[in-house]
Amino acid sequence: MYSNMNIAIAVIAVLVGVIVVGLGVLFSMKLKEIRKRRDEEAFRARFSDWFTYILANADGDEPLFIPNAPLSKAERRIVRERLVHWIEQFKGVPQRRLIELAERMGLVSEQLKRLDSPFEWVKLDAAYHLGCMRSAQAVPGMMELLKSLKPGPLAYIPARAIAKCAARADELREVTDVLLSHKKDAQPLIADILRESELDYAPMLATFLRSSDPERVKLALAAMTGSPADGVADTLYKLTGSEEKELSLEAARLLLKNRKALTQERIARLFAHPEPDVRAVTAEAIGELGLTSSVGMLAAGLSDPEWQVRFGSGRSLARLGEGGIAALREAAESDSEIRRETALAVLRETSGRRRRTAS
Amino acid sequence: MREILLGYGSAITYYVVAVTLIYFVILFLSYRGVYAMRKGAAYSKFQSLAGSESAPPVSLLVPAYNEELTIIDNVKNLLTLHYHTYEVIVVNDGSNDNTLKVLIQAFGLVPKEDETIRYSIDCTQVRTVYHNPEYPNLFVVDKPNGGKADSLNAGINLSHYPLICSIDADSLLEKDALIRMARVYMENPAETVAIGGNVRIANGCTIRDGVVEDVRLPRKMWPMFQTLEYMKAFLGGRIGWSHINGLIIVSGAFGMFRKDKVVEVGGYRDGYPGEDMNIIIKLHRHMLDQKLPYRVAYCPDAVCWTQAPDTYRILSSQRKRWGRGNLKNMIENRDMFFRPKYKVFGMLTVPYNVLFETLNPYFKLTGLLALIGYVAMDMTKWPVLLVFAAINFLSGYLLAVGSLVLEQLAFQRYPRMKDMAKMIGFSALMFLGYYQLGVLWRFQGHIEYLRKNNTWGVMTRQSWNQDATTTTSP
Amino acid sequence: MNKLPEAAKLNELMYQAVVERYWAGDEASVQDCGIVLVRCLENFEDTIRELIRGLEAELHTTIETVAEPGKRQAAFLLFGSGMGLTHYAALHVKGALARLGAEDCAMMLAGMGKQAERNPRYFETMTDMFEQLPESMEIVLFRERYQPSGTQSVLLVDGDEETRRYVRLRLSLKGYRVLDAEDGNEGLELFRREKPDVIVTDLNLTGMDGYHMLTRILNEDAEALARTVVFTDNRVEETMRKCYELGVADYVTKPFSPAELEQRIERLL
Repeated sequence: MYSNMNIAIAVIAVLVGVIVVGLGVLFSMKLKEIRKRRDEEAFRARFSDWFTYILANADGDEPLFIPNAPLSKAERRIVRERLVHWIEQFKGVPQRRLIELAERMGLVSEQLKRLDSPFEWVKLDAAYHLGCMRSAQAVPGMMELLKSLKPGPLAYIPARAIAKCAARADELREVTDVLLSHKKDAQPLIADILRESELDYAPMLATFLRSSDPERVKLALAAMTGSPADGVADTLYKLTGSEEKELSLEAARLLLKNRKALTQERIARLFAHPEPDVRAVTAEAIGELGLTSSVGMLAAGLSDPEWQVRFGSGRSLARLGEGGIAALREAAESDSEIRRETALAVLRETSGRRRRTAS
Repeated sequence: MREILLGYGSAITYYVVAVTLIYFVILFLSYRGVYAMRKGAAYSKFQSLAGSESAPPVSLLVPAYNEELTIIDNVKNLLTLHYHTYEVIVVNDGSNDNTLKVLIQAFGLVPKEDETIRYSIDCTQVRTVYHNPEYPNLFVVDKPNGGKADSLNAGINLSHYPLICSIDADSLLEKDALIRMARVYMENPAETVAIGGNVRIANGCTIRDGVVEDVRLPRKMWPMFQTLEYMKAFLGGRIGWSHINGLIIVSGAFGMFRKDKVVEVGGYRDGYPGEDMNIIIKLHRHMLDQKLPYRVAYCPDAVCWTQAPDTYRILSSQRKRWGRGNLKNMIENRDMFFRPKYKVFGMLTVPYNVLFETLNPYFKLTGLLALIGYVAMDMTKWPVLLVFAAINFLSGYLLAVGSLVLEQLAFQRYPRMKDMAKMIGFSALMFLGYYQLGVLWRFQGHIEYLRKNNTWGVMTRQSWNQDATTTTSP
Repeated sequence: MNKLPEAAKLNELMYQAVVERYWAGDEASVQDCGIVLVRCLENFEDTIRELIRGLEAELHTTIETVAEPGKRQAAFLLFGSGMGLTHYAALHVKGALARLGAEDCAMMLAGMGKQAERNPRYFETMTDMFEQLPESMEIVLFRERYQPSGTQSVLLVDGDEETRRYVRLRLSLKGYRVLDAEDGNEGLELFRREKPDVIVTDLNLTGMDGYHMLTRILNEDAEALARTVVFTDNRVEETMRKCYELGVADYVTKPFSPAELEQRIERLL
């Protein structure tokens, strides 16, 4: 009994102690935060004139002057944050001029030093800022940091920074190698990171596309947006035959954007693809591209076992003018139930749409 | 007899200390987890990601039952998120009020005939889909009443995008909440099956145009308590659990899911309540059964503001419902209890939930009763009761302080010193009644559950947002 | 407000100085000229003379000081300097005045290009506006405020305050009248009231999303979208397609080049 009571009292003492420490920490953090906020406002007011001057003349041709008073450490931080914000907002001349200004103010060299800090969070912070300030010099240090990090959210920070700064294509390749080795299927995000680069990395994507590693191929597909270069159309077509569904589908999607690369034969092959999703995007694309020569093929697609393909075919027929509508009407009287249902549903949809636009 | 009572009381005291220690471990994990979360968010340029086509399109699902008062603000808020491609699907679950009518009026909706719904998961047949080309991202689905889970399933069936996001009709999302969450998904699409958002209490804040502008603490007592409770649960608890991939619940108010995985597990369970916990348990089970790597992530900086109940009656019925849902999910998934096959989830999360959440009221109540009994037999031993109370209070208070420190460290949503002092004060006041009521409500919820076990069929027809006390008594 | 004699005097002196310079050189040597107008404590100009000499050396330019006899107002003429250097010089002047302990001064920054502005009316408007300037320590850009009749108006709708302030500054320096709105509802209201010549809008807005605002504008004025530039960070092809389908004239993505944005706006006028 007494031992129990004694333990209990000891526990109480410990709890009280920790609570007091916790409250102390809490209040001091709050005070610090409030002070910081106040200082920040004061600094901002102090530099607002200078900043207006910088922004008003960011893309002029006269030199930009640094503030005419020496800056304290806290002030440097504020000026850096604001500059970084605007460097990221701009592209072209004003961006280059602001980066050059940041270099002249010693903001870059100061961050380069921090990149060698023993603390991970300091290095991450430095990498982020160096990335924004496009410091090619920082790439080796950031690469080292990237490789030292575990797979996870933090790795993307130096990766993005390197992509912004990289002056050579092999640095970009190294970043993608590291990120792909994490095996997170993060190709879309990596593609977004690559887009930060000012280098022409299309040749790299082309080699990725031909690679035997599906991860690389996926990245290439994710990074090729818009209409991909004509040079890769054949590779893309070959990829639509891939066993991996995702690959064949993405490849088909990209290929279908490139009208020049689409022969009648290729379309027919894609429309007969074993993967329903590929058939569906093909059906859709035919309507989008207005390939009236494929009406017959689409009409056959109305009896596809997959509903997306049936509806895609139907909707595309509806976009292909007289011939397409006629094919739909014909199918609406067909004996096959799914064929008839699809055609009727699509006809209903289009008449609904027409009524709406008329009203 | 006295010895037994005292022994039991002491055992329960140790139980309380043990709970505290475990909470502490979780809180510690939260601190570790929040580091990467914060750094990742601060330096990831998610703002610019919101306009990049690399971010996957998302379908927001908003089940609405009798929400005529809040739904317009809610939808306006959801239509102005910072995200490049998403749709908002409001599912009117056979409301008895004018929910549908106000929606049609406010957004000029007309029936959309060119929409063919595929029923990939079971749900009540949809009556009509409404749409207006001037709001291309908004769809309103009208269907007969079938419950919240059923509404979500209907929304999934209509949704056009690979990610879905469930949102309560009385909640508001911060403008960048969606992109913050999507970033977490994009960093690891291979494994992420669900992501939870942070729910905060909007009572007391200034709201303009569906945007929370000035963050203040609630002025009323009940929402104030809940603010602290949510902060503790979401920051102190869920960050830690997600760090070891043992998250058992993603709030129904704001969570993101991979649609294909939700469809694989058969969608939301038709039934009520606790469907938000249920879907996560099902996902854990499914992925572990398949032996696939996965994670249920948590994104504390994706914030959803919600209106907390501000009266005793509504609050108690909500808590009873939660108690009922929790017990139901635990009973239905009892096979996962300490099964090595279910890894962290089976070995830690479920046992923790059963021992320290579901059964907590019983342990604490009986412990208190035992010690009261003991003291009643010998009044001179009153310090024992005092010690029990002090340990209970201090251990709980310590955790509250821990989560306040975490909030201050990572989020700082309440900028004023006054707010901080108020939170510290109310954290202490919570022990004078509010916690005890919480225990009582949970207990009542369990009783409701046991009494209603035989009226299962009626339960599934229940609507999700209705005041449980008035409509579910058998 | 009656024109004070000091201002008139200043105007006269300033114009004289500029014109003298102009007539002294031949046509080809006509330079830019930046002007800093200051109204402050009496004799302030004497006390900052040192500073002005320093600036001349730093900026490699000649600064001619014109002061009215009352010694409360002065104009500094930076021959051969564009707006950038002049702006920088104004920062120094302001700093020096603040060190003198002056709290209520009016400061205005103006500049002249090669031809158009070299007429008396420009100077008159400039001094007029300077005269009416309330006394604060703010450096006012004349071109930002100067709106001759017939100025074309731009409605700018953007939720980010800094971006809005910046684009507003840039466009008004270009001689546009800029109406800015921070959200969709305000944007629509300004559109109705002011009938702007050009609309520049983000898609990501609060209150009402940008795309919907555009559809509302389209309903009210079928021609308006042909004078609309979407200015947004949404870089998704599909969104661009939808906006063009709706009828917008142009689509500029962020990060942006201000010169490019200006050029796209100009094209619509």
